[in-house]
Amino acid sequence: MQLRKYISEIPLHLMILPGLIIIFIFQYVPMAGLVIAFQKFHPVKGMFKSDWIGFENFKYVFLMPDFNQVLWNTVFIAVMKIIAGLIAPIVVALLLNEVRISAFKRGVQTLIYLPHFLSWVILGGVLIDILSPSEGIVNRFLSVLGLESVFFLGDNRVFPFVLVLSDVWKEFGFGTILYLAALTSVNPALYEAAVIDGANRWKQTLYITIPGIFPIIILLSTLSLGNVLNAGFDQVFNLYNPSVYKSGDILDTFIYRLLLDNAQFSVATAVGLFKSIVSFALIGTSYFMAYRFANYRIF
Amino acid sequence: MKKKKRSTFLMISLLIIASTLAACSNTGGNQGTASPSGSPAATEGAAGEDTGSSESANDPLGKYDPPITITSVRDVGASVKFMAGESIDNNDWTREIEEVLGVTLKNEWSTTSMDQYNQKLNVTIASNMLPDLFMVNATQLKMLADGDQVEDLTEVYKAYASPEVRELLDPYLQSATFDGKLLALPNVSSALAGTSNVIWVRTDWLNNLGLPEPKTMNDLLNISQAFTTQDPDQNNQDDTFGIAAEKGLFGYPSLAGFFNGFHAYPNSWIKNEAGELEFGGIQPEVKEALAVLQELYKTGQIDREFGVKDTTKVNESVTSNKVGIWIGPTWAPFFPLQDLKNNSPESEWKAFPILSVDDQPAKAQMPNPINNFYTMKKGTAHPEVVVKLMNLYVDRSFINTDFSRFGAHDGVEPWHYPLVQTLNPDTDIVYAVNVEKALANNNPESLVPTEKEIFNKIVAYQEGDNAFWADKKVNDARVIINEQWVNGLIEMDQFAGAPTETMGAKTAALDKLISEAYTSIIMGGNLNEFDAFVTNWNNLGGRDITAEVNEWYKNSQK
Amino acid sequence: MISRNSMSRILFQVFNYGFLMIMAILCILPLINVLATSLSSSSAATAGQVTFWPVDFTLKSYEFMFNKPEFMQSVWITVQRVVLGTAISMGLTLLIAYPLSKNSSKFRLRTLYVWLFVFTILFNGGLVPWYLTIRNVGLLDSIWALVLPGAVPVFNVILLINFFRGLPKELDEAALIDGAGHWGTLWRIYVPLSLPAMATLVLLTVVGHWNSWFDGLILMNSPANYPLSTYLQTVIVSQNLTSLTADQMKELAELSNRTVKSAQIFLAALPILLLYPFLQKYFVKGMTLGAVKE
Repeated sequence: MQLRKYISEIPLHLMILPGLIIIFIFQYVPMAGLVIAFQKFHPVKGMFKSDWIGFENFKYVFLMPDFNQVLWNTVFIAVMKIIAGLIAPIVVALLLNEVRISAFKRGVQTLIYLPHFLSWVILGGVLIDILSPSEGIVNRFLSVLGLESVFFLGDNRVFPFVLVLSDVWKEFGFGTILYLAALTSVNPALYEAAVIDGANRWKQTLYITIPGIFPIIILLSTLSLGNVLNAGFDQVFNLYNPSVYKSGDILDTFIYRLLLDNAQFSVATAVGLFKSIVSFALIGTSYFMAYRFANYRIF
Repeated sequence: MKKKKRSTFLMISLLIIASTLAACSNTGGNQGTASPSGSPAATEGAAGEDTGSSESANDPLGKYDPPITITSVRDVGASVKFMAGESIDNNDWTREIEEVLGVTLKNEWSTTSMDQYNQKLNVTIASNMLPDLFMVNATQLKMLADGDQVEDLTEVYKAYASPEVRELLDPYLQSATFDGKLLALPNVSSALAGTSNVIWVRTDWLNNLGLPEPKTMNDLLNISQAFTTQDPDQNNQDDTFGIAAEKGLFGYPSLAGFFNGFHAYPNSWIKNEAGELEFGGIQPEVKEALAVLQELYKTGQIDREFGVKDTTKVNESVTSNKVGIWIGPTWAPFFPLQDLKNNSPESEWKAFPILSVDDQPAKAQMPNPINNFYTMKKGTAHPEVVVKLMNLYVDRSFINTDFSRFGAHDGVEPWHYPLVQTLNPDTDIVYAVNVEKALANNNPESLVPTEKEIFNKIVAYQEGDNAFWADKKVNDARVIINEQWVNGLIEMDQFAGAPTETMGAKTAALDKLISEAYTSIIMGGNLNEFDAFVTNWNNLGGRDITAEVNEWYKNSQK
Repeated sequence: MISRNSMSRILFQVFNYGFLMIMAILCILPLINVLATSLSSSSAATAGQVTFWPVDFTLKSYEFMFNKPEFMQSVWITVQRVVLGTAISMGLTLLIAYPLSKNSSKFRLRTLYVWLFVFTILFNGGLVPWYLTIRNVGLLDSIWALVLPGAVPVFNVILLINFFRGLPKELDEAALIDGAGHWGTLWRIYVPLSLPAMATLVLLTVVGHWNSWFDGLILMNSPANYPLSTYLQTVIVSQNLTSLTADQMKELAELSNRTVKSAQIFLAALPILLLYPFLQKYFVKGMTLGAVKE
């Protein structure tokens, strides 16, 4: 009986095999390079003969002045991006779902994905104009409302929020596509039944639609936890300036400047490893908790 | 429970296998010169075995017979053009070095921008897959020195360098010397024309307001105020301001020239009365300059948003007629002033030397002119090749010049082609002075082709073609720099060595400190912050760096 | 679906359409600005005069890129990589997602496999080991270097697993009764029902391959082998203006960064603009789950 089960599973193992080989060669083999994080890496000596210095690389980075500030900035900005980046696409997908004119729906879907293609190099310039305290549209709008103008890109209190909002604007299209695809797979029969029961659209959304896409919401939230130390190098690099280093300098920009003057792969690998471990811990914990308390495997 | 154990076991065994495989692959890569065929080292190994390769002993231009192949990597700028059918591996210069030196230069990879080149080179260095000969910057050179990956060129330089090359390069060898070993040949850049600041003022605005040209810093400040408050572009809008600045302060445009007017030399090492080196960025003169800048910011003479604007953004202020004073190198007219000229032909700019705040003439600072170096990989068979290539380049460019082959022709500029090159800090300045003389005498006969090209462009401008306005202005600016150079009014950065230990570790943090402190003071902070900043700078590594710099200085004076 | 035209419903629709329209406009405005900039003269662009319509219309930035023979070559390389890469990725994604979407009871080791894949998006050894591995496998300078290392897009796999799990279990049982093995079930049942999900993944994969430039830079030795995005990357002159050589100065002077950068961005967005209409029909139609009658 056991044997028959094993045999019936063989096709499944075979299906996974090619993928397994690929990730083994191209992901796991290079992973051995992580040892560099614990070495004083010399290219000539290579990975296996460079001196072992244990946690020195980590200490070097952790003890740098400003490290704590930088770490805090990174987490703060990243968490806000995760939250906002979860809510916006869901809301928009739900709204789009209500649209009956399919040409309009298609049009909006395409257009909102476009900001994804604009690089931060260009967007940086655009944002400086829009957010200018003297001539920018946003501040002119604020003055119409009787409010004082805000130096968005130069004020430490506001800068992180500018980062979050502009990033959400740029990337929410991607999430919307995913949620919309998920929405199409909710069984129409459920809606029909609900209508018969007298539920209005709002109740339908609450009790059918959202639960229907719940798995993917959980999935995407969990995966995004892996980004909690990636606050977005490209964006910050193109938008930050000395006036907002205090609130805007993140782990990656910090390391970037460090490596410009002192191209040390050991340090870069150490920080990378640090980030990976944190991501792994967060995702692992979420997975474990969902499994333990809801008997649900997130993936 | 059993399942968990099995999975962990599997994980561990997988990791072990992974590490073993990685070990095999890495050792293969590490045995650079001795690795088996298929790697570029093979060709070079073959050449090495060819010890029968004879050459006239220590002849600076001695030919290798039989010819040898040297591997290299290259950045070929996007705007470099070749004749039909030619490429970076096949052109007049590659044929020249083959004919004369018996050297075939083979590029393992090439890129089309310096950013890309640096990225690829960093990977190449870290994976120890070095070609025989390649160009590096100071940071990479230090990396290579620490990793002991490049040849010691001290002996071959002494043995093979031609007298002309020695004359050109000897003063700059310290920047490539580590622990007494010469690890690379420096590429001297035309730094005077490229980096020292002049002050560009918009003269049509001066005329509109009836103001005279500035002779002192005070004049300049008056002009700045007038530009801000008196509507110099006469469009009835209060949209102009005096001095352009970008968020990094010393990029482009640069405020270095402004500081120089106060005898302050930020980011530079200067000699004090005791004969020691000090860091210019923490001196009291800097505080004086910052105080004035603060005033300018308060009164709107510097863009209130300069702190968030990068170069591209600041350029817009120029091309949209908002700013009248631009501090930068002699080539500012090429970019962005020419753009403005194209749009607004009535705009006119003139370069002024650094204007002083008191009766002592001001000096323009000039940073270390060495940005790039040429190194040979450790274990390479013919380390003297780099010296010979330099000999040949200097010979063909400055002594036995052959402009029909190496001057611009048919739309291509062959002087891009040689890998190993060098100039003088005043190369472009010399050209400018010669062109100026030729213009005054209306006699271009004695000009070399490079100069003649400039001459022709300026003549075209004088006859009405605004497209070459920039060439004229740049030339004028270079003549001004020449004045200063000749009169000893250029303050050279006194530190010319390789980055020190603490520099490597702390420069990033110290630069951040400087940026934050200066910007904060300019934008309205308390001037006393400066003193706190100096203390911080010293404590965070500045003191150590100063000690190391002075150590180098003492040794270099021997 | 009966829709009630109550007042609140109409109000909501008005608000909804309005809001979505504003949002869509906000999203496209910058791209229009970018397109206009790319078609404007360098002086106008640097003066910040361009808003939504080209000023001093010129095709110079596009000409500058198209004129190089490398341009057409790089387009061909990118097309190859997109086609090969997407086909291989989608194939592998399907093959991996199907088994992993089964319960642990039906497929032991399932969770182990999943974590093996997930682990690879969390941990990586860094640039140099990655480069060395690919080099040692002999893929440098070949199209396979752009296709194979990333051939298993774990994120896509996880999405598809999730999607497959949402399909009713009755399908499996029905297939089993009909005598279909795992292969049959996968190809004849799961795939046709997953078209919206697959369309999404195809879109993501194509976009990913089209825009991926860093691997092209590091893994291709000759610029002749660069994919389009790497090639476009090269025409952007360095931002570090403190150490410009005479050549770089000339480059800067010849073309404004801004117009060329804009042209580059526009070309990057092009495939999505062209591809999206094709894939749309898969998104909009819901699946008919009526395949299984209760």
